[in-house]
Amino acid sequence: MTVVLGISLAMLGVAAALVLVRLYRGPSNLDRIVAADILLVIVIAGVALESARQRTTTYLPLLMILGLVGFVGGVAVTRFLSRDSDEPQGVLREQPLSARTPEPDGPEGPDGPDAQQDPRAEDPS
Amino acid sequence: MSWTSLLDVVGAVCLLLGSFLCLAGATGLVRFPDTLSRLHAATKPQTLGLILILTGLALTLRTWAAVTTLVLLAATQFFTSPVSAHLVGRAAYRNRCVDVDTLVVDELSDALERAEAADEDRAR
Repeated sequence: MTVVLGISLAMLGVAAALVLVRLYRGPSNLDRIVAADILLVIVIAGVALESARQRTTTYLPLLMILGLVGFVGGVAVTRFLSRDSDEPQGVLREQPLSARTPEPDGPEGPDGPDAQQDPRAEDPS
Repeated sequence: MSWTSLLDVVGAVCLLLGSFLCLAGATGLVRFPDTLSRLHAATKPQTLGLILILTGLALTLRTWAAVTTLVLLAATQFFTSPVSAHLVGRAAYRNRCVDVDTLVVDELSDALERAEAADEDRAR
């Protein structure tokens, strides 16, 4: 049991390191959100392994809270990043995909803050 | 081999497999080229790996309180992981983090073009 838990923890550590690489490199903030989500799943898995090692149920509420907080955080940040997309006819008229260039002033009016938030504009890889 | 040690062994195998799947998902997250494929690597192996780890934990603990909590946690993972993945995918498409040339089917761009054309008709 101890050997198995050690191997599992080592694999989780390597996985967390790889996820941190992705979290650092980006290139867009969406990739970082995905990576942070996965990092939290790995943390949940690590806490579960510790709980299995000690054979205690003390950590189970912690697992529950971590899962829910990860979901809420990821959804909140994603909604923040895609905030130009939920007006009923807003995004389709103002920013069609074909015309999504970093021009601050389109003919449709003031949408400057949205146009500047294109993550591909800073790192096109 | 007694009953409890058999459960222990099965639980340990589940923990090992789950950790391996987490490692596989993280590897895909680093190696895949764009956001959507990274999302693919991030959601499916991770969810299955977490479910396996929780199963292994339940088999190790073997109390009803633990089993119900872990089933609840697995159920929330099943419900919330597609939701957040969908949101990220939609935001990725709209922020143009998707390499459209690599897509096999791209129904969303057709739909967007149709909506745009209808919008122009209405404006006229």
